[in-house]
Amino acid sequence: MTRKILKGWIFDVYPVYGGMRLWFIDPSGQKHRLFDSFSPSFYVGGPSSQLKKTLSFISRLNLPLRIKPSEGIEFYSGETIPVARVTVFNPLDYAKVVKWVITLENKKENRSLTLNLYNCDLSLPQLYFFSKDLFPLAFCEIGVGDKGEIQKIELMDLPWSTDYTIPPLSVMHLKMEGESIHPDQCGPRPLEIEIEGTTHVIEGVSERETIEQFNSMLARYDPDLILSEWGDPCILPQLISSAERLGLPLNLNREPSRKVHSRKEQSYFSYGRIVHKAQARLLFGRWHIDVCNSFLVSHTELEGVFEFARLSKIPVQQMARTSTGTGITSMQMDLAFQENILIPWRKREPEGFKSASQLLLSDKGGLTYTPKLGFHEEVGELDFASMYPSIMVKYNISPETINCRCCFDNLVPEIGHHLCKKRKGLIPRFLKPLLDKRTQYKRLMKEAEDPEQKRIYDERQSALKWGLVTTFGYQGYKNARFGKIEAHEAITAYSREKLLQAKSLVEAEGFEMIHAIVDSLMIRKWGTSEAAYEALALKISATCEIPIAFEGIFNWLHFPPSKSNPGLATPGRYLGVYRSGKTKLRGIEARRSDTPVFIKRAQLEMIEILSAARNREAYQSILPQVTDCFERYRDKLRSGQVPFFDLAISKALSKAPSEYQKASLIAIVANELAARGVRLMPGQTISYVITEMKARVPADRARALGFIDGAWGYDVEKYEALLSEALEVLCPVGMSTHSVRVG
Amino acid sequence: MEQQTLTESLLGEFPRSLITGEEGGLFLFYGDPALFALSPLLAGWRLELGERVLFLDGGNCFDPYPLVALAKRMGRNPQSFLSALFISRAFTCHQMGSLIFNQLKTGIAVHRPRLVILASPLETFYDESVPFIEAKNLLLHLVAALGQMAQDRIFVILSPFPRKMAGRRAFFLSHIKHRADKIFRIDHQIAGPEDSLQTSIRISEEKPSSRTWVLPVLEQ
Ligand SMILES: [Zn+2]
Repeated sequence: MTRKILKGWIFDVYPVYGGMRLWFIDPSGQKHRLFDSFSPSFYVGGPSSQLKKTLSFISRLNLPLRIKPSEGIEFYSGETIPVARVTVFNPLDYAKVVKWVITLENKKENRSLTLNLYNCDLSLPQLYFFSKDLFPLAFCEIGVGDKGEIQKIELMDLPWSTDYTIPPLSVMHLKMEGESIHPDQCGPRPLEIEIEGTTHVIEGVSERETIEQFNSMLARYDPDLILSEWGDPCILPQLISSAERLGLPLNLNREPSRKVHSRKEQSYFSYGRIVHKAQARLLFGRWHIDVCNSFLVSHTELEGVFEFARLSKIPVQQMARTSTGTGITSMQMDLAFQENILIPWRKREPEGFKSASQLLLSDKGGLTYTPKLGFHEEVGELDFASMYPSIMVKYNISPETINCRCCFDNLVPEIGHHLCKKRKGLIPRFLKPLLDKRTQYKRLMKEAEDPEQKRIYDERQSALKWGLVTTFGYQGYKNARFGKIEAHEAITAYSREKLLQAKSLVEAEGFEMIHAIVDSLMIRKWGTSEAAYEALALKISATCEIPIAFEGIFNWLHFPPSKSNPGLATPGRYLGVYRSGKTKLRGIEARRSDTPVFIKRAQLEMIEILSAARNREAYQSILPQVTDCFERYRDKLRSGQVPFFDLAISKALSKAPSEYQKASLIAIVANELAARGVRLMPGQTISYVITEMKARVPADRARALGFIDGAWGYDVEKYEALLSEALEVLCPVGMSTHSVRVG
Repeated sequence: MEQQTLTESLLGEFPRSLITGEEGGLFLFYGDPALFALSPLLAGWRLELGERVLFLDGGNCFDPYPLVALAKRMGRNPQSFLSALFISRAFTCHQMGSLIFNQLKTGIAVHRPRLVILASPLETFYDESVPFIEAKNLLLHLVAALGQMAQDRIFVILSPFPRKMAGRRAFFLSHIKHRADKIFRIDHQIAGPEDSLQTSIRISEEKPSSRTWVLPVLEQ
């Protein structure tokens, strides 16, 4: 019998015996611990004799499960095929059953009897959300029985909605006191906790008291979200191990019987570079998000994570730690699931054989026209909006539509692949609403008057932008579930065609090309008005069949000389200021992640001064002010008073510390940290300060940021050189920084 | 060192009879990544005869430029080489499996190659997102299948040393060694007095016989 009706948001979901635990937050902020019965299924298909054998094996496993004949749509062929549906009554047994089937498969001698598994490696929360058509943070009305069991759920929200609300969350901020440095890479510091506007520092007490104080704060404030800096690799593991050692409870979870879930760290090779995946600590009934271990949080704040979690149906804690690629794959899997398309396990389809000459043609990527070196005025910019996704939608590019079995005449330009005209692909079907939603957010952002609301829309649209970008990248990515290299090639082939079409069109209209790269054109015809550019954009959009937008006219745009070849400019490395006053920076120091904060700040300040210039003469006459600014920063450097934190250079290790053979700065510091007992893995980032570049003893050349103390100074000469480089980028050839003052 | 320079240096020096005299077999070249300079050479000798060659790429490492340079050196039209070498890339070990168990048969039937090159097939097996036992089982089957197919054509496997991170997956290379008919180890040597360092490639046959060739690399 239904005891009560609740309205609110789905907060957290994870498997328990016989179903899913569902945490629900109502508008007053009250939390409800509920239970929803759920039995997940996966599918097996293949030669029937083999299928019978495997199924009879698992039915003897003495686990409550049901095997039923069923059917589903095979992704590549689009044909409906017979499969067996295996439903496991208890979700906690699900992984076990899947693993048995895989083990049986692996042992098999005869490869021609291979079975196909479908939907088997989705996480249980994903399967739950997919099957019940719910999603994280969904607003709904729930009928609950007296034991907290859910009797019905009525969804009052849609993942595609743009004006959704977020439950009232109480947030605890957790970090080590002081600057944000990886706690393993510096000396011990006290724990700092901020909640409800008050900061507490746990200092000068024993380990036991630290745990006790932390526990009492958890009990008092009962936060929904613990937002930490370095909580994944350091703070939580340390608290957990202290508590275990002392035999004390640590009430991080709301689910009393659960231990904190930990995921190990990992380094692996991906596309020729080492990637480090930090360890993670996930909670039950409460969220822990480490802002230093989340791509989405660092690029789009929590709003981006919420947007992605709702669309991808991946719970918030997991979404914060995963890639946008995993997020968009989950959205695609959800779409497939809803349409009864069987989700293939382990991507098996390799690339078809193609000759080396075909490969040369199809592997070209996006098109680039080298920029014209130096300083330019009155340059207009036109950008294809979301070029790759628009192409995928427009031309129906998807793994199952490329080189289909029917439409041989529907050719992709240049490379000879063809595309299906009869079946609409999964990727275009998935992309269309995503593109539309981003357009809506961009419009809402423009219309919003409240700056906070503007920020929220901006973060959401930016999260979707990352999703759109990865959708293209994932077509060529090895582990993408719904990716195929030929689709990737078709997209770039169309993109080259579009850029060429646009180029010949603007040249025919008398414009001069300054630079073009993949989806963006920088062009000039003296005296062209903004209205004329808008008209040009419409004309190009009509010809190219995908939208191009006029971004603005630059007062000035500067392509500095390449460092390795001073006679040439580098594609994608420039700075400019639009007539609106907005700056655009690409590839220069201020944009690079390994530039010290001090140098970045100096360069941004110098650019800020230059942004007042409306033309060449003004730029030239402002340059001496830039020199003054440069000199102020240089004097600060020379005074020796710049904090080490502002001078730190952060770089990722390309190998383990012991594997470095040359005494490069990163090797020196990696070895210093290793000697201090810091365990480092390839791909991890370390920060250091250059102390004396030319020191004879390598160890004196640079020191780890976290351990450097007042006994050390920084290398003024070296940092001055970096500062000068940041200035040089702003000084076009032929313009002197001193001429005005001297003259 | 550029692969192209290496390839050109080895042309005329590499004992071509080591692999061209045979009807079939599974040949392994392993060691320094310089061994990739051999692939255009091995392919070139077959392409020169008007044959087609299949190239299964596990490391996304195919580079057409050395082949173009080689064709020119041999006085051939580079286009004729490029259009007779057929490539398929596998990015996961399961794709590599599917490529060898399924797609290769069609490729062989259509193109009738005398030589099939597998470049860095193990690269896809080092990926830790696939459990060790699963990768191992797949590899055992795959090597057995290659052994079968290599009875009437030459399969050349080019495999650099496993990197440190491969851990227990370093065993995969040992397993290929165990099944290979011929094994050559490639080392890249730099030796000599400091002012005139000499670069050379050392090829050591480890199976069936043990012989060594030291091929100087020409300075450009
Ligand atoms: Zn078709």
